[in-house]
Amino acid sequence: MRYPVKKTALVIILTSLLGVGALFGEALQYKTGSMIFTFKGGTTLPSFIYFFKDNSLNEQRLYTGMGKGDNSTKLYPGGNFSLSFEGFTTPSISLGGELGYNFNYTIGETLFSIVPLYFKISYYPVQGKFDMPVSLGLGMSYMKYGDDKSLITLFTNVDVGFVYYINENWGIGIHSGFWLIPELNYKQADRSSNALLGMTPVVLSVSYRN
Amino acid sequence: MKKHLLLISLLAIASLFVSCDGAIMTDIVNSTEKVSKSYGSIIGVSTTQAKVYYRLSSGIYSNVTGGGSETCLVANKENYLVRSSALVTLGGNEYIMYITNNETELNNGTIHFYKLSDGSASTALISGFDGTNTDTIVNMYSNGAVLVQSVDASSNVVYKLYYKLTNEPTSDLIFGGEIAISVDSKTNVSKLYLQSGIESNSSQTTDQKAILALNIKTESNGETTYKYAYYKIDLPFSSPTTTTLSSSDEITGNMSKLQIANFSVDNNGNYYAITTGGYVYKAAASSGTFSSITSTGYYYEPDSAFMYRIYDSVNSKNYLITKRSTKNSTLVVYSYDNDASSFSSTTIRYGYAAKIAKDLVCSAYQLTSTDPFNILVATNESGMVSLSINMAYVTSDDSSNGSTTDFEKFEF
Repeated sequence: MRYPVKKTALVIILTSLLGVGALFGEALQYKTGSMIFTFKGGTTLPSFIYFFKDNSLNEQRLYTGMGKGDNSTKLYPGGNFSLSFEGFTTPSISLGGELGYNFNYTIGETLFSIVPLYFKISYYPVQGKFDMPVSLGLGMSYMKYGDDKSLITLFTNVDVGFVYYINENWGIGIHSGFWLIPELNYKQADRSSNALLGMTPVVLSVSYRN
Repeated sequence: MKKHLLLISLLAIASLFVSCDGAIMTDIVNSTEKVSKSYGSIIGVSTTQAKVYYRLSSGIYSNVTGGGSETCLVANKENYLVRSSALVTLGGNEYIMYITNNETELNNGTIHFYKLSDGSASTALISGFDGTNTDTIVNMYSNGAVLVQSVDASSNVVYKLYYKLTNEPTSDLIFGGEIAISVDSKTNVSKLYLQSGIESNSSQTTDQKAILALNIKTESNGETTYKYAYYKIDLPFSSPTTTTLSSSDEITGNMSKLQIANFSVDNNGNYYAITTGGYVYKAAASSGTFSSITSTGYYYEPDSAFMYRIYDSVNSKNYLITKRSTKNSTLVVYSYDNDASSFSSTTIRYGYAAKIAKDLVCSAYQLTSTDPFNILVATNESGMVSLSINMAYVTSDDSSNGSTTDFEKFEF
């Protein structure tokens, strides 16, 4: 009874998934060896920045939301595109990878860009005319801030998509999910700045499957 | 599957070791909106008027503590852009004296004055300008000293530094002291480029230290080489005299091919110069030779190399606070004894450095010379802040080292 809201939400999500599956479920579209190539483009919404340690500069640990405001991330919505490839190892599960580019501007007009490169595993509970891939990604990302700062760090994400196939091979879709990017500094002096960045992507996609 | 997991693990571990230039999220959450003005220099603070005076790209302005009431005092006009300026007290009245980029004015020795008490404007000419265009104002420094390029009777280029102007401006300006620097000994010189500076911490009414740098371009057998000649200059406030610098005032040594980004002087009068390549050179007060002490590994440029020295008289310790010529970079604080033969350094991002670590520094102005040390710092794009620095913790990278205001919320 400690988390009644979360439990309720979980039940609703699972029921919805089953409902969607029942609604659109067809014979399994994919078989082992099937492949999907996807191009995505859209926006990313900065959600939060969380500092693992409190320090003298950051009077608080958690910054949420976009744009101006003392408690906000100071990042504006940005742009994002990516290319991905998936190969099915079973009729419902694919393994693949994705390479992307993402940019956001700060309120001070400094460019913050991320190049994520990650492996992903996707589960297709619904497939056919409609696909609903649920993906989990893990890899690394190159971050660059302004002209002088850059960092290679980890990257993880979850992604849920709804893809409608216009014909046998081509589909268009919409995806969203969540990115988690830790900033893990190697220099001792910067370790008090170790933080976790959360972003919410909302992107459209074009997919080709064989 | 095992191979994939192994690869992911290896990448994850590798990424930890290449994370080398961080604190990005800290910079992001501390972003501030750009100000729509570009600072040139902080001219000074008048306690009488309770205002700070500064130069923007559009002219000379004043503001009050807190930054809430900016007023334009002198607007730039075509061919009359304010080039450099100083806040001085002449005959008991405070003036902003400034020069423009107008060629006629530079050649006839025109200096503009803006009287703070009533806002009246006037001009005066430097006494002794020959009016034949052989004399040209080269620069004016933050303490009111004026550097002039001239030609002597033998057609050699000479420089004169006029300083200590004490009387109120009249038609002819007479300075209390003059230093002449002859460069006729520099043979095969096809062109001279000039840089020079007054120590950052100096104020109008204290004894000054300066370095004059001549960038000498030499052409021989079709080859062009550059080198620098440096002169150290003392500008005593109480008893300035007319002097000519001799070859003994030239600081020689193995720094002739390096450009000074900024310099400081320790409490025993030794000069410490940091070059554009990040090398530190020292010239002892009694010696005329620059000797290399160390390489800092940091990048400095003359236009954006902020250096501010704090002196701990109890422990005879100097702390030189510097900002590199890289926009998003920590401050670097060097610690050294008087007569030091080596530096130690530490980087500072928090406390007093929290704001200015994010931008290039254009200008700084000392508000207090005792602990805690308060200074105004103007940046390239973000605006101006005031810092309060606690000497006992100047090298601590946390809030104990002092504090900073927000941009454009400066206090004095």
